Amino acid sequence: MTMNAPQIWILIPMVFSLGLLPLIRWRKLVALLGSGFALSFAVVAWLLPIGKLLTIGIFDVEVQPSWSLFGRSFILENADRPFLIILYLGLGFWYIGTFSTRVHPLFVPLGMGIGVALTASVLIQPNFYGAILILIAAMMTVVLFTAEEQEVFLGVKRFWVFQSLAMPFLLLAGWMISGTEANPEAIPGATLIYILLLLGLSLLLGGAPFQSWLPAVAERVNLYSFSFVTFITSFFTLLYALTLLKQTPWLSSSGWIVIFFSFQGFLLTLFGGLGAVYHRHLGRWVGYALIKEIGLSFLLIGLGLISSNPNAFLGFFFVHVFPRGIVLALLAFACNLYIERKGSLQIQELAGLGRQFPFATIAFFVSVLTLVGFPLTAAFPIHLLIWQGWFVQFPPIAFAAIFGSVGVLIGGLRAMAVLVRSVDEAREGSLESRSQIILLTISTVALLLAGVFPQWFLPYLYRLGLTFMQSE
Amino acid sequence: MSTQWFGYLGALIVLTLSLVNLLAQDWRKRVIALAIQAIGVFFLCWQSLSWTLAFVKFIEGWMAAAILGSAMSNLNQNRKTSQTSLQVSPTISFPLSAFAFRLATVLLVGVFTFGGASSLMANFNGVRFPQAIAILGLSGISLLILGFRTSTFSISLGLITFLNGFEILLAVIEPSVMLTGLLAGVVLSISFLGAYLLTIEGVKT
Repeated sequence: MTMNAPQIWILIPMVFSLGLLPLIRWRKLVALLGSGFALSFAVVAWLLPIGKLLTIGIFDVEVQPSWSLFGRSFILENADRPFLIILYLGLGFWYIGTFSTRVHPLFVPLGMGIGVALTASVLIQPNFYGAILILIAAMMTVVLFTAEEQEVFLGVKRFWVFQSLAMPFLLLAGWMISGTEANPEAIPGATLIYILLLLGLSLLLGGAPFQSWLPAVAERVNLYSFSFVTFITSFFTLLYALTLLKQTPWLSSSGWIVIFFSFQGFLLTLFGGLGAVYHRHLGRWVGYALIKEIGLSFLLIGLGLISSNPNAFLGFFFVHVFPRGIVLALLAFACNLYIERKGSLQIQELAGLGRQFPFATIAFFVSVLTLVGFPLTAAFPIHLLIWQGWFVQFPPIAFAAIFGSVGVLIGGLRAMAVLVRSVDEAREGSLESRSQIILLTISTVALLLAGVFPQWFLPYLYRLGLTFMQSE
Repeated sequence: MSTQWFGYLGALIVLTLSLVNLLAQDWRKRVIALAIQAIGVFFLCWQSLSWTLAFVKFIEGWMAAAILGSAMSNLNQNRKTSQTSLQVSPTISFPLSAFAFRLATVLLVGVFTFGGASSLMANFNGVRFPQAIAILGLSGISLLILGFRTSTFSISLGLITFLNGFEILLAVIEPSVMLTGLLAGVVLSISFLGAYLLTIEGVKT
């Protein structure tokens, strides 16, 4: 029996997400189906080898890696399985959270659709067609954000415009790159390739000066959907950029690309830290923290490109995203509980809420520490690696990265100080439900354990990243 | 008339009508301008594509205009119904100075367009002069639309105009059926998304 990997990972989830649309009035059922599907697909991604013969009982099953469609092909090799595992674990994790927090009914089907479009963007060959699929994912994101608020605000318009403008630049750069095999000196129009590619990546990834939509959107939309979409989108768009660099050796060894990632990382960590210090809205703080996180990813890639073995170093990218995913989900979950109680995330309105939501507030505090790379947290090893690496290469960038973390920490501690303030209303006691307490406790403990025992997750995730980066 | 003249005619059409899209206030005029702009895009793509593939651009442009036009019409109808009892006039004033400023920026775009056309033709083999000025002109004016006007309708028009310019370039350098289809899908998705967002705005008002 022969099956086709891209059809399994693109067509089946797409049909599934469409099939969920008529069921959205039954929220719990949709959440149950979505989380069950995502987790089972994560297990399948882990267990099912691609391109190898597998014997199941009396059946011999072989999963083909390629699927041709209108003269183009989607190629999913064994080495691509790590990002599928991360995607479906992420989807399952966020979907389980929807049992206990308020999200729009479209969150599950659209989340799956966004995941499918982003997966396809990394798998399609030639690679530059992926830009179109990323735009389709971005348009689904706009639908999700506006459906929740029933309002079209400026932040989401900016997001839509930036993502739409990125597509032509990346498509054109990709087309020009695909016609080159030599070194940049031998390529006429290499300058144009750099301009198009770097402009496209800045627009797509929320690089400076196109980062302003992040806090603007985070202030207005449901933070749970926002954290999911930004986590998955930043992961896949960076993966798209890494694939492009991996397939074009002359580009990844170019000084301009290194300068771009380093300078963007420098600016984004600075902007993120500065914005986070002065925030007056918890949603905006999450937006600024994300800017700092994207900046850190840029710095990691920049450091990888100048290392002696870029592919081995860039394997750390997968280590970097794991704690970020849990932290964003926890922060958003806690903020959703606050907003359900107070109707706003304005900092002055949150006074005393920490006493009514103790588990959410502990989760919030642990998440803040992890997000900034505090010692003994899950993100500390990767922060330390980036800080140390940049101190050796170019200290001002390392200072900017530390400044970003300190800024986000100050902003988070300001919020904590308000949350745990003593007010009369706070005498009501804990308002969290049992399911919320269980979810928050499991996630917080997992995050703490990952920080205290990094050897439990770090080598495994690093190997996943290495497998992806070393594939052709 | 030789096909070369169709190219110049196409460039004239797209540049004039994108200018209308930047300056006009009435949504009906702007939707009609978008529809006629699709004819210009068809003429320009026809220089490099088979007429059947170029015709896809025309159909796609008309469908996008129809989708946005229907959404605006519904929105306007709803607003009129809700405003009749209040006797509120929906007129929006547009000062002459703003008009003059926009024209001045268009002149800058014009300088950039004619200055950059030769460079574009040198970087991308096969691009002809009318196509080059249409590509750069549409890109420049669409960025002005996106910069000056923040309504959902204007953003949809601006993005479609930008993609129109890009489609002309891709028609020359990568004349594939798959890409033509995907880009048509993207333009239609943008117009559908614009219509959906306009409906949400309509429900809110």
